[in-house]
Amino acid sequence: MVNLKVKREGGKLYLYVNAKELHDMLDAVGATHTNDVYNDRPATVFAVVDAGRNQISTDSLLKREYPYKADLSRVYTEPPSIQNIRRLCESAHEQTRKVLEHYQPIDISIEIQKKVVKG
Amino acid sequence: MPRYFWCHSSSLRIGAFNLPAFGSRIYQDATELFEGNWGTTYVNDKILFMADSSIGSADEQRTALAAALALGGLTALPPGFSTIGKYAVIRHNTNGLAYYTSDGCGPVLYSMAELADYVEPMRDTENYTITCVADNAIQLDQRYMPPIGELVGSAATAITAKTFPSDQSFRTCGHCGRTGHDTRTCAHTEQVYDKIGVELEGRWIDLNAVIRRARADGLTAAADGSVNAGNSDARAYEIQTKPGSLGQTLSQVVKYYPDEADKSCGMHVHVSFKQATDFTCLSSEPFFAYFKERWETWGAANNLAPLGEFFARLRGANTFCRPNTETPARLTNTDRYFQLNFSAYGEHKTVECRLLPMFVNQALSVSAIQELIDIYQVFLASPEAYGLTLPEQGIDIPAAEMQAQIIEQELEVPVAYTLVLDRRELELEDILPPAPGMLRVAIPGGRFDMAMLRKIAELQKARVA
Repeated sequence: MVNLKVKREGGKLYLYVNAKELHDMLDAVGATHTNDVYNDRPATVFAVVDAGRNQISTDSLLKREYPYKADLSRVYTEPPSIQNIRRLCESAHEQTRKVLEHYQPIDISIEIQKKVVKG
Repeated sequence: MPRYFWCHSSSLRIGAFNLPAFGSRIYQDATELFEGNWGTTYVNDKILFMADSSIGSADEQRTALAAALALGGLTALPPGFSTIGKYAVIRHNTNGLAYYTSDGCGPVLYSMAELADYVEPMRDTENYTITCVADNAIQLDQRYMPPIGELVGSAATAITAKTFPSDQSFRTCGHCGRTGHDTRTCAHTEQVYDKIGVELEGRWIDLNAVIRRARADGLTAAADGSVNAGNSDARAYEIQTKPGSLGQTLSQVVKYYPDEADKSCGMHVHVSFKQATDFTCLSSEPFFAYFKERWETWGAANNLAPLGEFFARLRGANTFCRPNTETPARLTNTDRYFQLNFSAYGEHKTVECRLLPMFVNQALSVSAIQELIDIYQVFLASPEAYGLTLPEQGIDIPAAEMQAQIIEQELEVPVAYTLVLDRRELELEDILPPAPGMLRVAIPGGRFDMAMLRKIAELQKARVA
């Protein structure tokens, strides 16, 4: 559903996110989007990564770019350790679940019953 | 009188040749050689080729060497050595090549293995001329040339080469710190480090003058309580070089090297990197293993005593530089007493290597700094080749799990709505029956049309009848 990779290119660390399958599922339930990103996203203050908690932002999972590439050098104010990077990747599971819950379709069926009082 | 020795030995115990015309000192063994003879250039194991530090200038070195070579009594000269013109002394055979540069940058010896990698011999190619000889015939004599690799046709046999810089200003590759090539021809295509700074701990005899000169050159100096005071007149202190390139750093190290040092002195090398995320790669277990392996090799190649200070530190016997074994959870919040201190990033934006002792021989220190830079360069050029795998994650949430959540939400909605229906039902029951003569009609869906009116009229007629 979602694939994450951290790659080192030209001395920089890049985060690659491929959420095509997740997006297919969102499309099926009627989530709307622009060319770049889905509308009505879960509230978050981090565009790419929450560097303090080593957590990927839900916004990163909702970019309609395959794969979406983010420069981690610009995200972290101090170099992340390998452990930090590992936690970042592991956070994708929880964040994906948040996205799914946010866009979860709700089927509401209303049944109106009316009784006629005999005179 | 400058002294020049050329020695040949099958081991490091040097059977030095007595050259009375150039001095009477004979080096008895390798230990003596490693103790403070700055400017020594040698090829280890098989051949030793060295210049004594008492030869002050390049001209003197050349003169001495040329004279030594011209001396008929020097039967120890290996075949292939000769003087070329006024400045060059060249030896080229299948084992290696030695050459002298016109501006005093040598002497330099290379093994064939090293030569095979070099296209150009020096970094700053504008200020020197090299004459190379193969089989006693001049092949090339011009600037920017020759491609030494082409001169050398055979593989290394038994020679292990180590190049030490002279006491003159020397040139090293701006990327990897090695001599013999430049940044354009370096195997490492990109310089990963930014600046280097070295903490020199030790004792200086004329400390005040040294500090004055150092500060004038932009270095900093501070008292260091961790350095033993010693029994001589020399006073303990610490001098920190001005951060700069490898060449600038080595020049400062040579210029302000302490007069005395012991095992209480460390040479801490700070290196900053162009990419902050390089710290991520260096703080990994594969790098720790590579770091240890390279230093073991370096120590052995330099014949450092297995029980000496360097290997003691490498083994972790010194509590101020313990081996790194685990990846730190957070780089800037770690103990600094490790061989690689990553917490230095917080203050200096550097990795501090605390492994190196203050070698008595400054040539060793220079070589060690070059080695450290090379270790960083080589590893960061392709960390994957040394076992560093960056994390990767694939997430797949089962569809069944998704379905269960949908059901959960469906249950919530009818409960709220049923209450509303119940309330309406109660309201209907509470309505009083219609007044006499009146008819109550239920209108399905609330729609009221002509058909309904007609039906009501028929019901009313039937009731009246």
